[in-house]
Amino acid sequence: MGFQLPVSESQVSCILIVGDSHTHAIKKALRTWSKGDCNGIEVQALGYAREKNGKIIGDLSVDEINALATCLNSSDLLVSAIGGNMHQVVSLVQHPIAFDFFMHDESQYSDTSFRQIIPYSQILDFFISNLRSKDCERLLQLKQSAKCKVCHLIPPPPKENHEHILKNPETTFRNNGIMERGISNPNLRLKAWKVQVKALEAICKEMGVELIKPPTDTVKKSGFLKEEYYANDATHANAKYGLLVLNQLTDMLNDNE
Amino acid sequence: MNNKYHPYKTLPNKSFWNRSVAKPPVAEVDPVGKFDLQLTPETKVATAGSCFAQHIARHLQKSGFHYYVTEQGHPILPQNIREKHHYGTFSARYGNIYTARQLLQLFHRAYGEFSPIEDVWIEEDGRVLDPYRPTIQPGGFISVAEMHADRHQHLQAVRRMFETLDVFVFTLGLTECWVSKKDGAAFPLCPGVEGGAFDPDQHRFLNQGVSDVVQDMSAFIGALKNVNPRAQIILTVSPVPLMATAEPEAHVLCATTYSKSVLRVAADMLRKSFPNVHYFPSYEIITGSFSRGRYFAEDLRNVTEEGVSHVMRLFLQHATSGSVNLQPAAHLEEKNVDDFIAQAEAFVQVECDEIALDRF
Repeated sequence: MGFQLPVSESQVSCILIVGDSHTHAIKKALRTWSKGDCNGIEVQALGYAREKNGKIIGDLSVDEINALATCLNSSDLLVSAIGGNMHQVVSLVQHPIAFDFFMHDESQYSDTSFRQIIPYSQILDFFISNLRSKDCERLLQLKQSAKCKVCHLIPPPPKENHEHILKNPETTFRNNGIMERGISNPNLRLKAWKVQVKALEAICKEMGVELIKPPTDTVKKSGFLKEEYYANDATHANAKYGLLVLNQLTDMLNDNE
Repeated sequence: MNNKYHPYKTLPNKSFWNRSVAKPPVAEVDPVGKFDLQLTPETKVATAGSCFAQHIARHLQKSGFHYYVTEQGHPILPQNIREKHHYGTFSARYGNIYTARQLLQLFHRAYGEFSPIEDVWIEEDGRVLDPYRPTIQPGGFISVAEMHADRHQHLQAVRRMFETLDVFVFTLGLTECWVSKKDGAAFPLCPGVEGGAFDPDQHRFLNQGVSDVVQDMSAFIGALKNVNPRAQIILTVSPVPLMATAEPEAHVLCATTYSKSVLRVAADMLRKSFPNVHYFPSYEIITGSFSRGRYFAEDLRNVTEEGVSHVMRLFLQHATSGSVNLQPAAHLEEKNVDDFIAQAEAFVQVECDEIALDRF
């Protein structure tokens, strides 16, 4: 294992952040991070290793990360940024059978050009079952491995700006035909993110994992991610966003102490 | 020895009880009389009816038929989620249709010819239910607007089904139902059982007689012919007894006999009246004394997988010319406990709303 947790001899608490692509914003932020600004709390961010385009990317395997989690002290904080993009996979690219769904406070469709309505409980069921069997399986392993508090970061909300999204979409969305099919109505995309949050609330409550909302300042009144926090792709946030997340986490740890 | 001619001398074996019911091995009893409808793998077969019809739908699907489903759910949802939300249980997401009245009204509602006054049920916890398919959406709908939108989409799929199917298999389930006193709208379940609130000033009990069933079904058959002149109809009668009866003073066993008798007579009258209507004796296969009750599960109500297999094997044998996979005969050897558990697991897969009547 090429990574080691900070030594706790000086009673320094540690925040270990593990996850997938949404961890990059935090990793980048950590490059400019000064632990003097936060009572010397040690922070480390690691990505799960996986194969992409024939190359292994990320830092450690699932087993290695779980092993690392067992080494944390009870005063530490383990933060998951696992997965996070299911809402984007479901709603970013315009589906050939355009769909919409109602939220509890809605009595109108977001987009009148849709062809099919999906009842809310079906879409929620889909998110819960998919997240439970994929992203949250690793989250559960972390929870079972760690003695300390475990939190999960709600992914950043969607980006409203279609022009930005089409400039540099991730390979997955290119492969899904985003350039040809276009982007779904932004309100539908925001609703899909909200459903993901609901699903995470249900799963994390069962697991005893605390959910951490995106930093308030990064979200527009309408609920979309503010443009100044956009990374240069369709779905991720940037280092500036990562920095605010780090502040949230250190505040949380300090408050606990 | 009497060598005089009489009509019974030339009748086939199936006309005689001993030869065709009492003596043959159980799995070989074949009570199918006249059944001249032929299906091919391309024939679009749609299903509706009581919970027994779900068995037919399930077996049609796995037997190489074109089980025709016009309301499949959105493809972005995986199959297991769609199944959980009752897509594919029947050809459209109407749930169990127990009575002829319900079927006729479904048709009228689909074509905008009937809009029941009792439009929606809102439960105390905020769940919104469709009174005409109250169990279709697990957890209910989140708003009246959502329920209306889903119903609109559902009735479109129902119209598409009626207009484009080749064969409609309908299992007549019950004669007893509850209707609105205001406009006669028939509910699949008594209001108050799985949603809504029972109000004796608004709701009344109706137990259909033969003429009611024949009249409703005749109206349906005529209406279907108007939108799809080539549609063929296969009627079956559900062998599943009533969960409960609301007939005053009646015992549920006698009420079951009445209900099934009415439906069986009506099915035969309809078969004789309409050239596109056929009868398949799944009722007789399951309830016939030749199986000595073994086609019913421990609760004497649900049908075992073995019984359903017998029905479907004969159905395939008579309705196809070998172009569709034939189901192997299920074995009737002595069962051990595990077999019963397996059987139990098989029958509980069927969604039978009526079970709620006995949940006190």
